[in-house]
Order: sequence, then C-alpha cells, then structure tokens
Amino acid sequence: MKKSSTSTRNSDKQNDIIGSDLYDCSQTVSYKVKNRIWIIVFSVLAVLCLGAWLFISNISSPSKIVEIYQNGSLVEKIDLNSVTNEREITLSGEHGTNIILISNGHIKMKSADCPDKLCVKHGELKNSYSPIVCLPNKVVIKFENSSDGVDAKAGAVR
Amino acid sequence: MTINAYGSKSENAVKAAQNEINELDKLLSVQNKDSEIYKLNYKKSMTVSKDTHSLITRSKELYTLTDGAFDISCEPVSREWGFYSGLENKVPSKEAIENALEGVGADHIKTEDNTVTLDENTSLDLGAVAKGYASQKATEILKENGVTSALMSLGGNVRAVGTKPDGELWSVAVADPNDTSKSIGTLKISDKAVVTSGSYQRYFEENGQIYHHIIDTKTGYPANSGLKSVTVVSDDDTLADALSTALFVKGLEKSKELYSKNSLLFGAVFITDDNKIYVTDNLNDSFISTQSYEVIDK
Ligand SMILES: [Zn+2]
Repeated sequence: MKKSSTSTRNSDKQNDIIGSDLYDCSQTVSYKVKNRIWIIVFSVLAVLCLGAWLFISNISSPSKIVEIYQNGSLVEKIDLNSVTNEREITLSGEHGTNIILISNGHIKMKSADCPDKLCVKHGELKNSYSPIVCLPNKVVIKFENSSDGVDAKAGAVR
Repeated sequence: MTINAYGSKSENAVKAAQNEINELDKLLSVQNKDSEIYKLNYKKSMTVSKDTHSLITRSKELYTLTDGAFDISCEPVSREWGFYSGLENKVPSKEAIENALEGVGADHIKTEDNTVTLDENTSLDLGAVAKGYASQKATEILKENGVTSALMSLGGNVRAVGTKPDGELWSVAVADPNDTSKSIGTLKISDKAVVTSGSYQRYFEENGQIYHHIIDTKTGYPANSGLKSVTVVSDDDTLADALSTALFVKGLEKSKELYSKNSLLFGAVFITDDNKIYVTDNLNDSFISTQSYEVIDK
C-alpha cells in the first residue's frame, strides 16, 4: 500500500512537468484543455495499473518452491513454476492415502482418506502462513521458508 | 493478534480463544473507560470479576517474587510520563514524580473475597501482565477444545501450544533491539510462552535524551539497568510477561540472582546496552544464534 502511494506522488509531479511544457506551445486554449484532460486520464490509468501490478506482485511474491513432508521428513521438494505437466503424488499413512495434485503454479490436496478431510477443504496452497496440513496422516505441504523457518518473532510490536 | 491452530476442531477453538482475549482486553485495559480496571482506579474500591481478582492477586505475588521490580501500581508514574493515549510524553518534574510515587507499591492494594480496594493515591495498570494472562487463558481454551498444535502472537508475546503439526519444535525469533526487522537468534520451543520487554518498544525523545516506557517504580524514572531487552521463556504466560518487565528493571546481575533461585520456572535471553547476549543455561539447547553469547549458570 505504501509503495503505491509513493508512485502516485511521482506521477503527479510528472503531470505538472508535461502540463507546463504544453503551456509553452502557442495553441488554442480549448486544445490545451483537451490535451490536459487526456494527460490526466492517462496518468490516472497509469497509476491504477502500477498500483494493481504492485498489489498483485506483492501477493504472489513468496517463492514457489514447495515442500511436502510426511511424518516430519521431507518427501519431495518442487518448484511449482517449473511444473509443465499436471501430476499426482500419492502418500499412504495410518488413515489410508492422500493424493496431492500438482500443476503449473498450483498445489492442493485432491483427495484424502483421513476422517476430517480438512486438508482437502483447505484448497490450494496460497501463502506461507497457512500450510496444508493433514493431521491424521501427518502430511504437511508448505512453501520453502526463506527466513530460516522462523514461525514467529518475540518482541516485535507492530 | 494472530492464532494459527491445527486440527479438526481448530476453527471453533480459535474463535473461542479470540473471544476470550477480546473479553479480557475489555476487562483489564487501563485506557478503556468501560473496563473494570478503569472503574476501579476511579472508585478505589469495588467488586470485581474472577479474572480481574485473580490477576491482581497474582500480580501481588509477582511483586514479592521480584522484590517490587514488577509493580502494577505504576499507573500514576506512567501517567506523569505521558505513556497513555491522549497524553503527551514529557519528562515530569521531580515533585510530580515524588507525588506520583506516594501511592505506588503492592501494600497499597488490598484484595478480599471479590473486592479490591486501593489506597487514595493508588491506581493500577495491568499492561505488563494482561497480555500474558490473556494468552494463558486462550491456551487453556485451545487445549480444552482439543487443539494440540498452535502458535499465537499477541502484540509481541508469542505462545506455542504443543509442537508444529509435523512434530517439529516451533522456531521463535528474538527481535534485534537495534533493528526489529532482524533477529539476534531463534528459540526452538514447544508448549512455552516467549515474552520480550525492550526499551525500543515505546519511547520518546526530549532534549536529545531517550526516555522509554519501562518505569522503575523505585525511582519513578525509566529503568536504566544496562539492558536493551529481556526475553523470558516459561510454561506460565503470566509469569513470563511480568518477569520480562521485572528483569529489565533489575538488570543483568540481579536477574542472575533471581534465576539461580527460580531456574525451574523460567529461562531468559538478555541483550545489554553494549549489544552482548546472555542466555540462561536452561535455554542452552533451545537457543540458536550466529552471534556469540555468554551462558548464565544456575
Ligand atoms: Zn487430511
């Protein structure tokens, strides 16, 4: 959010500069006004696009390297962005099997024999804060941690 | 506040825990005009809820344990320093501090069956212990609801319930007091509360001098004990919260004495003004850092 507000300020400045350039041309007043309106319209659009882009890139910025654990040990490590063909991984545990579906950029628990099915209801893995967990079958699907796998920080008051 | 809990009943459990935390905040906040503490500070004597009563009683015990370094009657002094919303931070006059100190001390607080009575010049601020109490109650609720794996973060206080879903220990970073976006090390824990008190958390500047919010009620001034932060690890959230303040006020040497007598109750990580790290020996196996640190023996 902070980022997009800074960019708004920058393009306001740019707008002023273009505006004063126009003023130097000896053209009719209405033409100048029309031009100014178009410049404003375009710069507003540009700011909106930039804002949207920053917003989207912020959301999808965590690395796409995903780790699958069973019983606490790493089963497979996958870069979701390099997946070309959709595939399934089947893991069997105490309560039957879990079928994990992997496609380009996406991973989810397709089906599971566990009693609660929470892992399936979780849907796709979206962020590093909520891993896909199948507690009965001890399966965890999570993004690879970039910050040494820290789960929380004590003392940092927001 | 964030609560991440795992397991089939976790959704309802988290809701119940969040409700409890919100209720306790309403009850114990010194700033909220509808809170019991606010009313008690105004009326000086009243019947209070079970939670308020037990937390005040516990706070008096912790006052004794810490030789007064933890003191919930600090409100008049903190008020003079302007550490409440709506007030302006300022260095009070000597007279103002002396006056404010008149009602300070646990002996000015009397607890009977359901009532609490304060002396005329006494007011309470449970801010140094309320978050700990809230996370303790929330932990109980999560466990009662069958949650075996959860991590809570309550304004800088961290609470781990059980281990991670995969059975691994939780990693809780200790904030670097010089730059809280960094950390000085990580604690590997399960079923523990981790609470940090640091001078960096709230402070103001006047005439080039920094004044932080952790008041030493023996002097009425911000504690100047040579520490930048203290992180306490304990099974007991309320104790961890109170001790993080108390050890900060006491300083390293006096904290060592308290630790040698109570090493079964808590562990701690200290960061001194000259950026040295000290870790109690009961945390030796759980503390991981790339920086060098000294171990405090029992
Ligand atoms: Zn499952």
